[in-house]
Amino acid sequence: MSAVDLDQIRSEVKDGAPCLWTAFEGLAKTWLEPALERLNKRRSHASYPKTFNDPVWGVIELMPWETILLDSPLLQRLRGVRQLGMAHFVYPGASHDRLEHTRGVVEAAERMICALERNAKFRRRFGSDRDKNVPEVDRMDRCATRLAALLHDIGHGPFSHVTEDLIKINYEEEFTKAKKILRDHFEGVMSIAASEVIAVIIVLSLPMFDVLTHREFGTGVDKPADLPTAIAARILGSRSCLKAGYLSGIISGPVDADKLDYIARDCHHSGLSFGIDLTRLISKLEVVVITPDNAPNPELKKRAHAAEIGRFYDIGISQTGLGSYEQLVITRVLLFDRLYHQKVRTAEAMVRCLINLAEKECGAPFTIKKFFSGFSDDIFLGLVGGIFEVDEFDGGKDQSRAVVKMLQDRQIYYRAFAFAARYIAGMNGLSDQEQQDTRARLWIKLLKKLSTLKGCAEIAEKIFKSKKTWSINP
Amino acid sequence: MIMTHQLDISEILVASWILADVGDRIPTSHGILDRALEKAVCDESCPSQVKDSLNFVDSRIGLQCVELPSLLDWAQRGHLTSAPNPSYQSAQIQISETVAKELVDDLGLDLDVIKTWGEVLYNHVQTVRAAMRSDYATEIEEY
Repeated sequence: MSAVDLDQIRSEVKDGAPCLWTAFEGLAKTWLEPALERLNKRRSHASYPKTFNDPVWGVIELMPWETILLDSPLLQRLRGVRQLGMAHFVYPGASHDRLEHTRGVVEAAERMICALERNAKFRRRFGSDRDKNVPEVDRMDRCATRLAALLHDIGHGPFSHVTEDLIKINYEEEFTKAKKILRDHFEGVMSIAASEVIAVIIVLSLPMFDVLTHREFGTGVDKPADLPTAIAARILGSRSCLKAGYLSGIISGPVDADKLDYIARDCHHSGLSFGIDLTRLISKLEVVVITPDNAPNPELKKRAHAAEIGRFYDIGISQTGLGSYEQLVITRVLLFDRLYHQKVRTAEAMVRCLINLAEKECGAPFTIKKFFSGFSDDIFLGLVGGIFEVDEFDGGKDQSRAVVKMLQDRQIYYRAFAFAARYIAGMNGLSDQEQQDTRARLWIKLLKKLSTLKGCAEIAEKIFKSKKTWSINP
Repeated sequence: MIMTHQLDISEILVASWILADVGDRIPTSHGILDRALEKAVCDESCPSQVKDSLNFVDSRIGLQCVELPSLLDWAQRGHLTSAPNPSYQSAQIQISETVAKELVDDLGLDLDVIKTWGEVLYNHVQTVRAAMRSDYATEIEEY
């Protein structure tokens, strides 16, 4: 089990991404203050696990230390952040929030842990190749995985993914550096989303350390000081800080608790019925043994050789569970296609435009503090548009107010232009290769513009000006 | 450091493949291109944009280039390559050598250097392919 030095990583992130670190450590302090106060007043062992009714999983149980975090502004803030951004403009039921999803991920993670624990036990006891070395899930592994499930979305700003790029764009260089540092310290981490970087910064912050290591937090793990790095590792999908290696991808991996919950939950709330069999899929998860003999490539072979017992363990699905897995993959693709209806995309684009507009009217880009002001999506809209006013939040002026009013009344822009390479006309008479060449030449130039917010704005302005010309000279 | 656009890197990757004149589809699975790229970025002919933009990780399934899935996606979206059908193991290059040269020119790179790097990359791909077939339990179907 490879450990990660918390102080070292903190100091590197602090140096490499000073604005992000300072801003989110400050926010973590504010959000976790009530949790610390509760812990300071708490009597040992006075609490009991809490149960919640959930439309996807039935009853969900949260441990006392998890409810301490759940009842703090750190997580309660997510109650106002819609899981699907503006999808409720098209699918009225799809107005569920990130907090509901977060609880669901804890339950999905728990069920996955139980399934793998059971399979590990079977591997030790049954079959021709009984393997006494398959590790058990210890208290630290379970506790860190569940806490990672609970905290994996704390890096989301208003409207979830809608504002993620806007937050990222102002701190691009710091995000890039932070990602590199995290990849250097946590083994096996692939791509990292901006919201995950933020979540990990909060998890590694001093205020979070004070909560996780508080004598009354009560997780019962041997080394509470190791919790921050273990939780961060699970959020990033790393294999570091883990005894039962097969749990490494439970929160972020090819089949993870996050996907299991959001696919089922988004289907449920949007009313789109795709058949997925979560119970079977979870029951078919199994522990895969990688040895130098069965490793499919040099890196896994090397890792198996390097392991103390000459093998390591990862998560897999039994062949009889492949049908359920296929269903999940197909549902994910269909769900994405159906949920991202052009009206939803238009409404989301309006929110992005609104923020750009408000920034121009305020004369300064929105700060992290503004994005993470803790207001629900609807109140955030009102503040951005200058409809509501609070201290320390300069909203937009007239133009922004007009856009907010349109959004509130669901007056969504109509699609005036659609860009696709297949729309490039006038190529009749060219050979197949000439057509492909012409298409690539023209499309690449446009694609580069369309892939940035600035480029989109430039094209939108050109269209707007052309439209005015057409209106004057029809 | 300002990040180079991933489509630029895709253009360099595809153009180098064409200019190397290997007449082969570009591999998209089994970590073949990932491993070849890891070696090819160390070659002196590798453009700095590519070298600075790629990160390699010993991931859950072995060595992976963090940016490669996105680069292949951009190549497909930019109509530089086909979708990796029917096997999901390789993609067809869709542009001609003329367009490849234009792309390299537009990016301000030297044609000969990119051609050399393409040959280096292709040689590494062949080496990795051969090693995967002989040393590991990896079945690579040909289509």
